[in-house]
Amino acid sequence: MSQAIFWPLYTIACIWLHSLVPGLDCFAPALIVCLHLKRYQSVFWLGLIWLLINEGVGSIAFGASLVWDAGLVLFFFAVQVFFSSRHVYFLFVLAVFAAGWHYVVFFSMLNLQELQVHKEALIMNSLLTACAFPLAWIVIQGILKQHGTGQYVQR
Amino acid sequence: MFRFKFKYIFIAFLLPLFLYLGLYTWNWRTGALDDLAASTGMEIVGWVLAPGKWADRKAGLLWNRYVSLVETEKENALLREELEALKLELIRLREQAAEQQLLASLLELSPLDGWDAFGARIIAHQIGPNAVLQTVFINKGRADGVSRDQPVITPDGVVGRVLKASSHFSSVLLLTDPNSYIPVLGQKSRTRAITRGQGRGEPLQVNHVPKNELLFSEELLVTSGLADIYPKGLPVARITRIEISELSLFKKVLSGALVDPFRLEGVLVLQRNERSEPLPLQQER
Repeated sequence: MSQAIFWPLYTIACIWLHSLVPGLDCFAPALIVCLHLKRYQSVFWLGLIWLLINEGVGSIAFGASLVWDAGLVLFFFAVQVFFSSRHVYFLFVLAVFAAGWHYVVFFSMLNLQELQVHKEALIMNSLLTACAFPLAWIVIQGILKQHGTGQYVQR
Repeated sequence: MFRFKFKYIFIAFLLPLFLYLGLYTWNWRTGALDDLAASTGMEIVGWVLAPGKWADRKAGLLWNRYVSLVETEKENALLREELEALKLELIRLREQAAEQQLLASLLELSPLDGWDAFGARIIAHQIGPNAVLQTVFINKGRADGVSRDQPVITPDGVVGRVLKASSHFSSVLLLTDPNSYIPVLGQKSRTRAITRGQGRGEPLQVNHVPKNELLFSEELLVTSGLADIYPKGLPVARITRIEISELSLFKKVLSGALVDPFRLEGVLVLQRNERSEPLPLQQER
């Protein structure tokens, strides 16, 4: 399966999953997998489309997803200074960071826009994000490898 | 050495931060990026979800028609439609009766005068990580005449108001969200208050009711029409608890929403028509 078929199908599946599990973000883990596979062009285009989707159906002003994704990308490169993204610890550290970052970004954005939301709901979303990251990573990697498109891009 | 480091930090961190803050404040003033995201992202999601929901509904309908008695089902559907129309009529008449008893000067007002209603289907609830407020996603958008802040109701009561709209889809902020404030008045007592959501399954707060104001237990709260968003007289909630505290100047009142927005499949969107009085702002302009 080529990337041109895989990513639109993945996007459709994610939209359905998002409608079934409120607060879930399946796009961010896929973005990190693309970074891990050094597919920087895919990161840009998919990131742009997913950003518009998340911001479009979101209920807060534009900007939260941008900070959320940018933070994850920065974290990905920062962690690589210490150990490779192929290391199993990487997934664990990423999940923990994603949960914390998710809470910080959305808590700050809601306060900035003077909106109120129950802290428990935000914490639940953050925990959901932490669980989703390793799962999505394994699923995406598995599918891409099975269909021969999960190799690293040689540069 | 220091100059090099500063340059590096500036390019890597401060420059993107300034750019982001610039973008954020520009969007906050103009709403341009919100509009762009709504008209692209919302449309993509809507067109992905709508066919599946349609297929699901059709499959359900087919199943129901073949399994259950066809004629009874048809008759039920007709009766349900009639019942919904009658409920709307009842809302109007109930409000008129209450007003006739208490405010003779407002006899000529009827709650849905100047408003048209059209149906919309709910195709999803909160979608994605950015949907932190309690919303539903409906299959009507700007092309159908939907715009921000339009009231969304069912024949049983208020559901919420339109938060944002793309060409063919919109999201609706539910009355149960903590950011949803609705000016109301007691149907019998005519005491004014503001309801505020407290989350899914939680009662609505009824704020700003002074201690000496009358409010009855189990009293129906209807929209007061003061915010220029909801027409006057739509049922919102029923009072469930009234507490009087020694320490506060206001009563602590809780109410139960008449509609559970998480169980709905369809809603009515209200739109001002030519008989509607213009908003004060429009008059000024």
